[in-house]
Order: sequence, then C-alpha cells, then structure tokens
Amino acid sequence: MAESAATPAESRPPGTAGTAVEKPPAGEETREWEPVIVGFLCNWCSYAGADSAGTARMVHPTNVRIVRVPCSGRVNPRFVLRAFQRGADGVLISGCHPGDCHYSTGNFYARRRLLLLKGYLEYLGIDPRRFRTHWVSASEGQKWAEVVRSMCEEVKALGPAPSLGNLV
Amino acid sequence: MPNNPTLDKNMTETETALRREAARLLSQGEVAVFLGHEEGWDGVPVPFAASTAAEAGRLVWNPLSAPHLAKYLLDRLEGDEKVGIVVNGCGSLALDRILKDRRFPRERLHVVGIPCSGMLDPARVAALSDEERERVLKDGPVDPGLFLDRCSWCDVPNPVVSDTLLSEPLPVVRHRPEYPRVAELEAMDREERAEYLRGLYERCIRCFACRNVCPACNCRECCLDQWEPLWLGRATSPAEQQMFHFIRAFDVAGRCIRCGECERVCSVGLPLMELNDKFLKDITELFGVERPHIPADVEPLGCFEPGDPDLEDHG
Amino acid sequence: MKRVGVFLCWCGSNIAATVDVGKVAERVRLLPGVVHVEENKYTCSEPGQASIIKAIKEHGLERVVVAACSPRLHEPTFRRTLETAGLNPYFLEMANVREHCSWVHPDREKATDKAFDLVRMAVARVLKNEPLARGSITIEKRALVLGGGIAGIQAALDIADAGHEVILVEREPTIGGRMAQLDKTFPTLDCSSCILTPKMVDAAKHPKITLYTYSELEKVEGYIGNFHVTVRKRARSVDETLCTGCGLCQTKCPTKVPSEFDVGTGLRKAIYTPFPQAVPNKPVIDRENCTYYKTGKCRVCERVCEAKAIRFDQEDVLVEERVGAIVVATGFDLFDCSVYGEYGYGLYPDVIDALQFERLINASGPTEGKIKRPSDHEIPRSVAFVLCVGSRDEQKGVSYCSRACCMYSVKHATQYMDKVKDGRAYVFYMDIRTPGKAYEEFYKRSSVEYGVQFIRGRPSKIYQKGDKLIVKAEDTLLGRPVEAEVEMVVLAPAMVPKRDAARTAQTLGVSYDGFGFLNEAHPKLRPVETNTAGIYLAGVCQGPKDIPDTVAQASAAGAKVAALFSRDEMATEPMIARVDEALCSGCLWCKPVCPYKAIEARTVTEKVHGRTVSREVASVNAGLCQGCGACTVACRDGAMNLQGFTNEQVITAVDELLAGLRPACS
Repeated sequence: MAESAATPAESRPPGTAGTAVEKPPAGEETREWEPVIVGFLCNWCSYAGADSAGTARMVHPTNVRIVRVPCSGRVNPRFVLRAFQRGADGVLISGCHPGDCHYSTGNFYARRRLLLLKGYLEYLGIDPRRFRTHWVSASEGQKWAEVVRSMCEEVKALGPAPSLGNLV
Repeated sequence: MPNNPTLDKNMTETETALRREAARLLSQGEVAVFLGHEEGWDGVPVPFAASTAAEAGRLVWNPLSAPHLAKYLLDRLEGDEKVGIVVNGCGSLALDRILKDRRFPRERLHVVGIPCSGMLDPARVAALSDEERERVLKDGPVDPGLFLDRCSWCDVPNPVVSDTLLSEPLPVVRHRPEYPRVAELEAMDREERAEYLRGLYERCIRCFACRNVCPACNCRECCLDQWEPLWLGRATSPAEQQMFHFIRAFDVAGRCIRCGECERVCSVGLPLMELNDKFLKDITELFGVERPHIPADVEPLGCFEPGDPDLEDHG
Repeated sequence: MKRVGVFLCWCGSNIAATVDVGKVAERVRLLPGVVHVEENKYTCSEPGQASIIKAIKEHGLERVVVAACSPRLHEPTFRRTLETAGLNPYFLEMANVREHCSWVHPDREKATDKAFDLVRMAVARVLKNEPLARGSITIEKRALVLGGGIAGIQAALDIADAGHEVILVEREPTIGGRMAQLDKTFPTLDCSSCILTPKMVDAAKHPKITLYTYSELEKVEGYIGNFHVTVRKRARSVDETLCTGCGLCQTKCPTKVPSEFDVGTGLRKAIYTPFPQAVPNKPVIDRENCTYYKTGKCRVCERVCEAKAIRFDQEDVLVEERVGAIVVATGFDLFDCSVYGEYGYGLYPDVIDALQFERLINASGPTEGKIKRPSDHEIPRSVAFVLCVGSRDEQKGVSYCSRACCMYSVKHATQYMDKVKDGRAYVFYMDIRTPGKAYEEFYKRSSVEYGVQFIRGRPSKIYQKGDKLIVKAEDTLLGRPVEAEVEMVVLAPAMVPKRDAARTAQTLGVSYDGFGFLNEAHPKLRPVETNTAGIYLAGVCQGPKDIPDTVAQASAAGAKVAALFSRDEMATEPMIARVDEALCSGCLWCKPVCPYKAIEARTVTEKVHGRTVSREVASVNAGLCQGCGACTVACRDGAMNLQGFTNEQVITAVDELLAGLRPACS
C-alpha cells in the first residue's frame, strides 16, 4: 500500500531502531549507535535454531530483527534490495543446510539467487559484510548465536550503511 | 575485439527477397500480418506491420535495421491469426526469449530469417557528416565503432528460430563472452563505484523505454507498476529511479539476451548493460553457463547443482 | 483501518524479567490500528485465552497480535482461540519476544526496544493478513504398494488388515523379493523361507489384496488421496486363470539359462517359476530365451500343458487404478564386485558374493544346502569372508555403510563352521557393527563357540595359487601384513539402489539422494513419509537396512496409510501458493522450481474488448502444494503469492521495521 511506504516518521511512536541516526530524543544522547539488521529465517531450520538459542539462553546482540519465512527459497532478492533501500545496516538470510531443506530443494534455488545477489550488492556499492547467508539447523542454537554476534560486531564496526538507492 | 562485424554486401538482394517472401505469405494467406521495418522519416528503419502484399513492398532491410521486432508480438496476443516476422541472429534471440517465456505460440508464427554479419548503430551513423554517412551506407564503414555494441561479440549470426532463411547461413565463431565494462567497474573501489552509479541512475526519468524494448520484460503487467504490494515507490526521487533499474536488472537476470537494446533506446543515455552484464558474467562464473545470453529450456535460476558454490564460504 | 488488539505476555518472569512489558505496552498503544493493549501473566493459559476472547468481543477486535513465545510453540493454540471467538484463525500474528528476545538479551533496555520493534512489525503485518480457510480433499481408500518383497508384503498386509484395498505390484514373476533368496536370518538363525512364505501366501489370499506380479509401474498422476496410477502387466505368455501350477511345462522345456533367483549358481528353464514356493505359482515364459520366440519352433510347453494355459500371443496389458496412497518398497541391488579387479570376482570361480553364498547353503538351492565351491564342487576346507566390498569406500564404491553385511557375514561364517566342522573361516573387516538386539552376542558366539577368526583389515589383493586363493591384507590391529590361504572367498557387496531407482523416483515425483535412495521427508521425525504427500517409503529403497528394520518401517508406512484412510476427507493447509490469474503471464518458470509438481498450466477464457480469448496461466494444486514459496520468487510478475507469507506481508514487516530510520525512501 502506498500509505505505509509514505507514512512520515514523525507520526510514529519514538523509534528504537537506529535512534542515533535520527535526532536522538532528549535524554538519550549518550546511547551509542546500534545497527539494524534484517534477518530472513526459514521456519523449519533457522527460525527453530534461533528458538533453540533462546531455550538454551545463549546471549547474543539484539540488533537482528527476524522476519519469518517458510523457506530460504521464499526470500525474493527484491526483499533484500528493499531492506537496503530503506536503510537496513545489514541483511542476514539463514536457512536449512543444503540437502536438508524441509521442502527438499528450496535452499538450493535460494543459494543460486543469493550468490548472484551477493555479487550484485557489492557491485552496487554495499559492503559484502553487510549481507550474509548462513545455514543454521534447528539444533544449531550455538551457531545462530555466533553468527549474530560476529555479524553485529562487523556491521557495527562498519557504521551506518549507505542506503541503496541513495548510495551516499 | 573478439568479433569482426562487417556489412553484408548483398543487402539489396536480401531486401528484395524479403519483400517477395512477405508478399507471398500475405497474398497466399499464410500470415495475416508481417512484422518488419519500413523507412522512417529520417531514413532510419522503424518497425512496421504489413497487412497486404502491396504494403510488403514498403519493407526495408539495410545496415540500420537494428530494432528487434519480437516484442511487437505481444500486441497481437489476442486472436488466432498467423503472424510473419523477420529476424536476424540477435533478433531471433529476442524472439526465442518471448517463445521460451511462453508469451507467444510458436504455431502462430512464420519466421523469416536473415543471417547477419553486422548492423550499424543508427545513432552513431546519424552523428556523421552527410557525405561520410552516405559513404558508410554505400561502401560500408571503416570504423568498427559504428556497429552496434552487440555486434562486437556476436556469436549468433544465424537465426536460432526460423521457418525460411533468405540467404546462406554464415560461419559461426564461438568465443568465451567477455565483459570488459563490468571488469572495469569491478576494478574500481566500492565507494568510487557507488558514487559513479549514483551519479548515473539518478538521471533516469523513468520513461520506461528500456522496459518497453526489452524482450525479457514481457510480463502482462510489470510488478513495478503494481500498487499492492508497492514493489517500487512512485515518487520521482533519485532513490526510486535507481531502484527501478536495480530491481529490473535482477528480474531479467538469467533471461537477458545481451542485445543492449535497453541501452540503445535509453533517453538519457544510461549504460544499462553494465548491470545486465554483471549478471551474465556471474552466471557463467558461478554456475558454469557458458553462453548465458542464449535462451535455454531451463533458466539458470530455475535449476541448481548440489555442487554449486556454497554461500557460507563465498565472500 | 482494521481494529487490532495486542496481547503482551509476561510468561511469568520469563519475559517480564528482561523486557519492560509495561513500557512496550505504552508505546504499542500509539501504533496505528491498535485499539486495545493488554498484559497477561500467561497468555497461553486458560484465563489468558479467555481474556483474548473477551477482548475480541468487547472491543470488536478484527486482528490480534500476541507477543509471547515462539509461534512454533503456540501459534496453533492462539489460532484456535481466535476461532473460538469467531475470528478467522489466520488473523493472528505472533511476536516472538521470549526465545528471540527476553531469553537471549539480558540488557533490559535493549531487550525492551527490540520487543517493541518485533511487536510493531507484527502489528503492521497483521493488518495485511487475509482470511484463510482450510480446504478439503476426498480420500480414495485404496493403496498401491510398489514392490512385493518383505517390505511390500508387510505394508500390504497391514493396510489390508486395517480394512482397505491394496494393489500390490511386483516386477518379478513372484513376490518374495530378496528375503526369499536367503537361507537363514540373523541372529536367531530362523529359516528365512519358513517365516516368509506364509506371509506371501497370506498376501495372495487376502480378500483385500490384488496382486499384480510380472508388472511395473508405468505412470502416476494426481496427488494425495487421488492418485491415478497405470500399471503395465507384462505378458506372462501363460493364462493365469487356467494354469494349475503343475510344473510339467518347466520339466519338459528344453532351454536352460542361468537362474536369476540363484544368482547364477544354478539353472532354470525358459518357462519358469523362480522357485518352487513362488506366489503365484504360475510360470512365465522368458521370451528372450524361449526357443519358440527365437526360432518359431518348439511349443513343447503348449503341447504338454493339460490346462491349455500357454498363450504365445498374449500382450502386455495396461491397468489403471485409482488409489489414495502409495507405499514404495522397491528394494535394492547389490554392488557389482567386479569393480574391485584386485579381488578377482568374475575371474576366479571360487570368489563369489554373499547372495550366491546364501543360495549355496540353502537346502532348496542348487547344491541342496551343501557348501560346494563352484570350480570343482568340492567342499572348501577354508573360506574367507570379505566385508565392505563397495561400502565405506568413496574411491571405488559408496561412502555409506550397508548396515547388514557385518551381521550376515558373521552368520555365513557361523553357518559354514557349523556345516564344515574342521573348516576354517576368516572374516576380513574394517569394523564389526552390531547395532541390534542380540546382535553383539551373536557376533561373540561366532568366534567363541564356532571359532570364526576375525582379521581387522581390508584385503589388498586376492589371487589364485594352484587350487587355492590367497587373500593378502594388513592386519591393522597387529600392524603387520597377513596372507590367508583359503579355498573359497565370499565378498559382502554394498547394498545399492535398484538400477532404475531414479526413474522410479521421477515417475512418482519423489526426491532421491546422490546414490539413488529415495528421500524421506525428515531423517528423524518423518522417516517413512516422502516430501510428496501420500507417498510413503518402506525397506531398502530408502537406505540400507536389515529385515527387522525393514519390517518395522513397512508397518510404520502401513500405519501412516491406515491413519490417512481413517478419514473420508483431509484438510489442506491454507498457507499455500495462489496465482493471481489477472497478472500471470503464463511463462510457467514457477513450474520447474516446485518440488511437489503442484504447478500446471491452465487455460483461462476471458472477454477482452468484446472478444472471447483464452490464454494459459499457472495453476496450483492445493492437494500437492506444501507452501514453500519457491514459486513466488521464480515469478517475476508478482502473480504467484504465498498465502500467510505474502509479498505484502513480508514487505510490510521490513518497511515497518525500517520506517523512520532515515529519509531513504519516498
């Protein structure tokens, strides 16, 4: 819908994500900048893997916001371009290990698309460290926590992303 | 230059043969309409649909018959009459793109093919002085830079789809596709490249000429025109202008025939093939598709190999 | 705008201890569309759910967001809650603020911020949710079982005993499969045919089972509950209804060829039943070898047949059947041992494979159970058994372990020692694997009681020396080379998929692995189902296993089919792909990426400018689609969408998250 895309930021309640880039609300000037990373996770392996990390209380940074999809093969490269256009500092896609896809082949198709996308994003000026793809199974809570930790550290060190479409 | 384009010396004879064949098809009722070119106001051939044998006499075939015609088939989807169409090598790739995308039934087509050793870029020829232009069109160019870009690497001189051929097939030389412009961009550092792209794509005025001419952009309704979801914002902002091209390039990835028509018709002169070539190059490098510009029964993104490069290790 | 209610769960202290739920509630109240915000200590509890129902009614809520645990845990719970309150159950979104937030983010402020982000994404998304309804498909309560070995027989009997019709299709002239070729079974040394043949007879006599032997699957169409299968009944050249199975034709037939059933250790006639207990006990004519088919002369069988059952002009018949479920039990082949040139299989007559050994020790085999070596029909005084011929060898064979070879080789060595009291048996092994009930004990007994000698090492060469065979290996336990002089060698080949397993899989539309074994839907939790709904697996076609595991899997597949057949109709998930036909260009690039063959072209007819025109569009079969969404990405028109995970919903969630970050967009 056009409205949702055009809703001005002012009409929203105080934003939390990326507060340092906006004018910081009073009293919060001291908060350091935190990157926002959009995570597309397949329902069967990686979303469950992130659940496992939770069940095992594996502490990791807060910066990843997960969008659940049934399969990594459901992730349209346009979603990723969209996220970078709208100012995501990073995008993390995670699915079942190749060969273990719940739908048997979804992640193989995903892998082809995302391989192309990775090269393309760099070509368009997005640092490849801002776009990561991992295979995390339902039992790999530990791996999920580590992936999040390492990506957040890297992206934080990179600073705010130039928005794709602005490429500033 | 991997390919050495030349002008066919027998184009006048070919043109006569084309008019004769189109007239025959139309008068015998084999086709209801024949898609070709006629001479435009400035002498440059423009697309033309002949519906009578007499109109077939207006068809032209000369060194400037560059525009591909396959996209015009989409205007004739309704109905069941047969359509005749003339294609050279690259024009047949455009036609095959439409066929492989199942956008026009092959049985409704009669394809007249013309082997082609090179076509001139009308814009480059128009820039010449009058005498020079006359000489070039009569005796052939001295400067290989006057040819269309696609002629410089063309490995499809003979139509891949045809029912009738108007001249003998030409020898085919295959070479590994090269993408010098992509390599050049890849050699820049990332910020520099980003800056370069930003400077370019914010110039887009979204006239959609590239989309209209592209044989791979053959959807009934472009998703970028849809409102729900709003794949692309409508505002005339640099951000959305750029996104239009960034998304479109991905949408034709794996189906682009590298004709470069998008770039040729761009009203603000954007080097659009720099985006498309990037995908063609990567498809070869990552998936081993040797000639990614040739329409295939299985598109590279519609299949996979279990041994494809792994993403986790990749970069 | 729809009226949204947001329910924030404390989960006791699980969420509330790290997320300031009150603060989240405060901010959520300001979100567009939100008309009701409520905190609950345990939203999933009965009072929690009751308060959702109450709020839906009191506040006229049209959409509900529950911020609690993982939707993988309680999404079904809250969907039922909405349904109880009269709302479409798919008007629910969950924000995972426990597993993905409070449990992993001890920083209260950051956890609270993230929880709010997750909730506002869910609120934005729920406004895009559409009402979805489960569909239903009718179930044809008949099953097709493909393959009449022990797996197929067991599955067929279980399904038939549950009261459903079964069509059992077997390629060979008789059912029985590999197990019929075996002599005894480990670890109990039960006679294989004594436990198998009664089951074969049961299957043949069962009023609910229709047997098609000498038949093959030709074609499969349709989907769970509604398969249309075509079976090719190959011409037997014998009228089964007339044949009495007297066997006279086989006695009189002049043509002898090596018997497949005896793995070349014995001979059969051109008209034959593979073995005396065959079911059905009706012969077939092997047209490739029959003198009449080759030369036009002979017809001895026809002359001697009192029942006048010989039909030289019989032709293949295609039978079409409607079934609701398919059990695949197509079995396996053995690895070709001649790949190991250094072992001399096929070169030295006394190097045989394990299945040939089974025929040699079988009382109804060509030697009537006397272990006679092929070269001179003498009883070998010593035998070497070589394990892992093909198995666990990525260079020459396959990477996997064939699971049954250790045990049957131990059994073979034991049987040999039992029959040849003064003989010597050597087993060359890499590891002895005995993972089964009483297997380890059996293995121990073989060496302690029977004196079988185990040598840890894979032989490097086997060669003939006089009338003896020399087996060279390195004993890796002692770390020195060994040479055993023996009179016969038995190789244990890897179990490999049937030669045409890939073709079978393609006909059925199920996936298979790099070797050709059919893939189960989940290696742990759905071991007998395939990814194609309604098709189940039993036995070695899915991967190497022994008889007890095969029978267990067959009964499991039978139980799955019986469960499916317990209902007349089956509910279909509404979260599947849907085509917007107005947008669809009919390119069908979505079709090849669908793992379930759920997409087909469909012709639509419409009026355009007063003219009736037709065009092709993609069409999704609700019975086959599992909702993976691969097609939606292959669709560049945006015509293919995934209900429950629509493009709109995903984009809205992303946009909402990033909204206000910076003026990046219009």
